[in-house]
Amino acid sequence: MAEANALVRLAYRLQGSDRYQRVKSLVRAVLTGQNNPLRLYVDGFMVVLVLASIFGLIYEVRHPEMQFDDYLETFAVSVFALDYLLRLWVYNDAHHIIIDHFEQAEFVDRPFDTWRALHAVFRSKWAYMTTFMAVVDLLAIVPTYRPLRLLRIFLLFRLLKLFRYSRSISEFVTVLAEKRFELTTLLGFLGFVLFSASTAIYLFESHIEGGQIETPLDALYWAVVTLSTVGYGDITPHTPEGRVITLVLIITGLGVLSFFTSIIVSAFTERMPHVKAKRLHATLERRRNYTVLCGFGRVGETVASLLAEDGEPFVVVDPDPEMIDRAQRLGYMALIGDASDQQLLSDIGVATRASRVLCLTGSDITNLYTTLSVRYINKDIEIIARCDKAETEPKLRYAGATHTVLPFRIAGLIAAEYLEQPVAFEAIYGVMTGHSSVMVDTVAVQPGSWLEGRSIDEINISRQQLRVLGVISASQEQREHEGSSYNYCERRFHFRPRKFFHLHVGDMLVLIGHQLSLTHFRETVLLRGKI
Amino acid sequence: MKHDCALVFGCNRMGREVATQLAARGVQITLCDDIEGTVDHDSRHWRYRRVDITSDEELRDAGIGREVTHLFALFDNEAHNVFLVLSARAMAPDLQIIGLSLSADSENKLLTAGANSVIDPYAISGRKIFRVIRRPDASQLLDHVIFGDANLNLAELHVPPDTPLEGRKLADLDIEERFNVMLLGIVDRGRGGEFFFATSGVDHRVDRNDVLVVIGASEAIEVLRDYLAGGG
Repeated sequence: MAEANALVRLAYRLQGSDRYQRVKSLVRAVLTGQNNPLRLYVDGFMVVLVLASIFGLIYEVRHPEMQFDDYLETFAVSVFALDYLLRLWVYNDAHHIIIDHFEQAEFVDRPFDTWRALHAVFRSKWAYMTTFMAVVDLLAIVPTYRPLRLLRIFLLFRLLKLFRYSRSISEFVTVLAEKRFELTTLLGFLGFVLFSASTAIYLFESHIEGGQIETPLDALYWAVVTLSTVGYGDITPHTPEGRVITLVLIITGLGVLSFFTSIIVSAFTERMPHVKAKRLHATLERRRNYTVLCGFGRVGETVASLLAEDGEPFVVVDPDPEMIDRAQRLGYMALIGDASDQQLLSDIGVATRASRVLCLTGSDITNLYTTLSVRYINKDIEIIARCDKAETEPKLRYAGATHTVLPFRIAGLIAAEYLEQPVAFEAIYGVMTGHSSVMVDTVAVQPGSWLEGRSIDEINISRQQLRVLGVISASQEQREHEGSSYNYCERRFHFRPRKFFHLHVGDMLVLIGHQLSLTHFRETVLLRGKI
Repeated sequence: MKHDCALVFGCNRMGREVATQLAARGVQITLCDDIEGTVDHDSRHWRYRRVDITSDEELRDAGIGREVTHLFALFDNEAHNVFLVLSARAMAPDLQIIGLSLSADSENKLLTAGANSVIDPYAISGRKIFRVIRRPDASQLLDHVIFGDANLNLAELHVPPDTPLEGRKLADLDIEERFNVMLLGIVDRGRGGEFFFATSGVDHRVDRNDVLVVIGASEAIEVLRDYLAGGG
């Protein structure tokens, strides 16, 4: 009873101790943390150690008397053992299990069973010890059988994070598993051929003078070498019967090999789209703030080409394989799938890593459904949806679209505008679409920027061939020297502000000018802000 | 403004949208449909008419070559549009023809057939979406000025032939300060009738038939228009 008490007290002490928790979480972060900077050094050190011990092993083959190597080995094994124990330690919290057991016992008013609690602790640790990586770790430090040290190469796998490619390996296994029937048939056939060929050659050649086949193992070895068309030539048939068997075996071997290859190749071809999708997911997992483009029609394609030109990362999703094929040919990341599928959406990171979803299919129903699904799993993401019918627009807004785009409405407006004032429209349209070199762009006044508190006159922008169309301010209040101003979308637009208009933080300068001037101006503002 | 009269071919979503927008601006609209088209009715905004586009006579009856100033070829079918544009161009060399392009390569065909301009709603939407992504504020503001019913407007002002300002330098006129407008650019007849942005730093001389493109409040633009005509 006394040791049970001591154990429970110890568990509570650990639970209550800040220092213990801190140390444990630090060790855990260093050994297993995803983005811990210290982990990089620790892993680097381990890689060097593993390589050194393997090279030591190679060197030892010829120089068994080296003293230095033994020291290195001892050191490496202690480090690996320490690593192993620490990993075992941080795998889970044993004191939690003991406390849980104790509290359960208290709850139902039963005596605390020390052995059951310890057994549970052991079971949880055993679960870690039997994982593939832990077994490899353990084998790598067992010093008894030296060639087993080669297993340390597996440590490199872990250290270099090569296991993130394990999905491709498991993919390979799945492919093989899918062709189980063909492969077992082939294997059966192969066994039959090898068995009969090696038996025959043994019967014909083992007793003759100068024959090279002396044991059944020789016969089997010869049969495999011949069948695989490797043919070392260290064992050759000497009797006419043996030669006939060889001829048959070689031709059968060709058949078996090509059959085997074709099974594997066809299995992979069938799996290829799946593998590609997996790889795409893996690529996406390392990205942040990308755009998900649903629907690769004409609108989608236009947006995609503009985004690609701008170097903005995006992924195309479309249910039509032809469209996806087209997108892939154009060099975009693309995925076959229904964008309203919840599973697919979370797989491509809409809930976490994507920053924007574009719903651009030709069907308002699909766009609405996609918008709703996306909004359901991510409250903050930006959604831009296309709607062909004007009546759908409020519904899309209601479903959670941040912006809506109506292709036919815009085109109608443009047609009308074009009819009324073709010159003005042509000019501004060029500006809007980026077809002309003159652009309209905004420059925000950041806190601490050179622009803060300056007047329009001081900025002296006309020297750079730029002109201030106006200033958008966040608040709606009037300002001194502002000229004419208008309320606009809950903000205020000061059109052509006067010379003494002062810029505040949060204002946005709207500038017209040549692209070069705009870029130059941005750079100057940034530079001056730093001084 | 002179009285515009437009024929809108194609009784689809695009055709109706264009017809509605034009009607809202006081243009007299006839919405035409092909002979196989769905039956539609006259509405408050437009007259409805069925026209066999393969018959020159029917096209002439609809007003091409006479009072019609603008023709919109907005059929969903590319071949129909090209055919219509070609026939109309042959009948009326001065007609403003605007075609609808729904695929990447139909734009060139329409222009070759004689369209003055081509509208591609999908490409336009694509670019618009890109603008919303890249320059949300600038894009929103421009949309507001151009399409919205804000106080600010985009306008083009034609310098009348009998203007008293002929030969004066733009910089001397100081239009921006006096009328509180932003001069976006000018179509300068003295320089070959091309459009020049005001930010290019070249000073222009005002000639008859120049076109000034300005952004400003509606009243300011009206005052400026009077001034150019010599009334200010």
